[in-house]
Amino acid sequence: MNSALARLLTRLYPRPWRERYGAEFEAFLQTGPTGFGTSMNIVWSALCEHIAPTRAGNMDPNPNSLTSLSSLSTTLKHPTAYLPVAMSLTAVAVLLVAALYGIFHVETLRAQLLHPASEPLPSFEVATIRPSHADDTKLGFRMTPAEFKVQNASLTDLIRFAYMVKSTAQLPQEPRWINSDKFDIDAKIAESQIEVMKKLTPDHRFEQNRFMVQSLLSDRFGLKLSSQMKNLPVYALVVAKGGPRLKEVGALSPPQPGPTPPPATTPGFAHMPTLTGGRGELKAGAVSMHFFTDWVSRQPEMADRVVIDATGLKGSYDFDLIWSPDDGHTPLLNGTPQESTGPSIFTAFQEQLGLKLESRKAPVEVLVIDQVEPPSQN
Amino acid sequence: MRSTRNVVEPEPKESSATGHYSDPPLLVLASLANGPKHGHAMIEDIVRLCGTRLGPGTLYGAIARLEQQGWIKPLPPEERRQPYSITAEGLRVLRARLTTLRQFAKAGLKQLEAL
Repeated sequence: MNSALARLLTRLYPRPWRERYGAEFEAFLQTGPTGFGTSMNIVWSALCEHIAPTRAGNMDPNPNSLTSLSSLSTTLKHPTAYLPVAMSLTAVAVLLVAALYGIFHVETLRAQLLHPASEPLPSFEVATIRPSHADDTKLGFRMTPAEFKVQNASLTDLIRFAYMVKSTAQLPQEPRWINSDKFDIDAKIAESQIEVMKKLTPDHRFEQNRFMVQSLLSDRFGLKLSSQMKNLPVYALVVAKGGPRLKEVGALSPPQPGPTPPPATTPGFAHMPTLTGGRGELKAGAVSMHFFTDWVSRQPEMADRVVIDATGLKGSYDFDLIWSPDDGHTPLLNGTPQESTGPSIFTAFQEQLGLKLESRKAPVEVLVIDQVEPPSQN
Repeated sequence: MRSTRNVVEPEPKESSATGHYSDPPLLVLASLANGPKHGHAMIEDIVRLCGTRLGPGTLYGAIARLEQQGWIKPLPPEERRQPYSITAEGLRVLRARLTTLRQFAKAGLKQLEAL
């Protein structure tokens, strides 16, 4: 919360309260999140403090109890009680009006990690979940229109994929086994759904896969999540001066009729969004900015910050990116080591993609586990 | 192998189903029971304890009342943060409250079993 708002909200409290708690409360607010709910909570608490002061008179250990409410009628009979009450109510009204724009603005930034509960989630036809072998160390996801396979994934990895979580700061950390226990998953998509999946755009198909994994987590792990907004440092991906330098991929043509199904090993793989390459080299195919920001968020240069798509670009794009990683690794060009004299990822974005990463602070959705259990039997 | 084809029906709202426990002074006491904490640490600890996230105003309302009762006390500030610790009297009150709650929960659950 910015210091001016923290000071303003602290000043809503009565002077005796401020003399004791004002300084530490203001410092506490400055290091905490901003939000309409937070502001309203403070305004309401300040109002309660005017009505039933903590440091003057009989206190009740529970400020929400009926006995504390009973002091309201007594206090209001005293004319001087109306002034702070009126001031607080005015502050409520001002904050309400001021927050209206803010609420709508926050909603546009909100990634909405959680699928609306009113809409049914698509699901796999069958799914097998097994504990990973101890010697497996590499996390692997494989998606086709017909199947979904995962190797050596923790529940946190699956949540990260299913809800497109961009930063560790957005992920739950408890209970511990959700990070330590690893699973292999083999899931099949119903025959009747495969053709439908093939006709979807890459992004839409990827989204359907994520929803199916959400359904799997709910069904097999009993996972129930809620979310809350936290004000976190982010990078906003914006279009740089001069415009984007990206090749837009046209709409996908429908599958060709006839008995020529795609190879069984990689059905439909060519139409999925792809990001290939090592550190320092990226080749992107049919990638939307939303999908791309997810990848950018995972780069060490972002220091685990969420990257928000603020480009306004709606299509899917092909592009290449070469940069000099700042983690000591030698960049590769077509698999050949290059001298680390290239641009930083921030410069490469501007020079090669016509995009820019701007440092900002913004409300970010953070997931909280309400319920989870080890996977049910296959 | 288990089918997941059927769409899982939306669950009832968690807040009404589980009813996050909310008695701010008691939650603050419980949070301080395992060691001194500053405001943000208390909020996160209380979330872990019962899923309730106290607002800043609610937290400091509870802190002020608990300090006035002598159930918690401020410690020397750490940079800009003000830690608090529970007093012996606070521990006694917390133990008594939790014992009452345990008895209440036990009796309530027993009545539910009879349904």
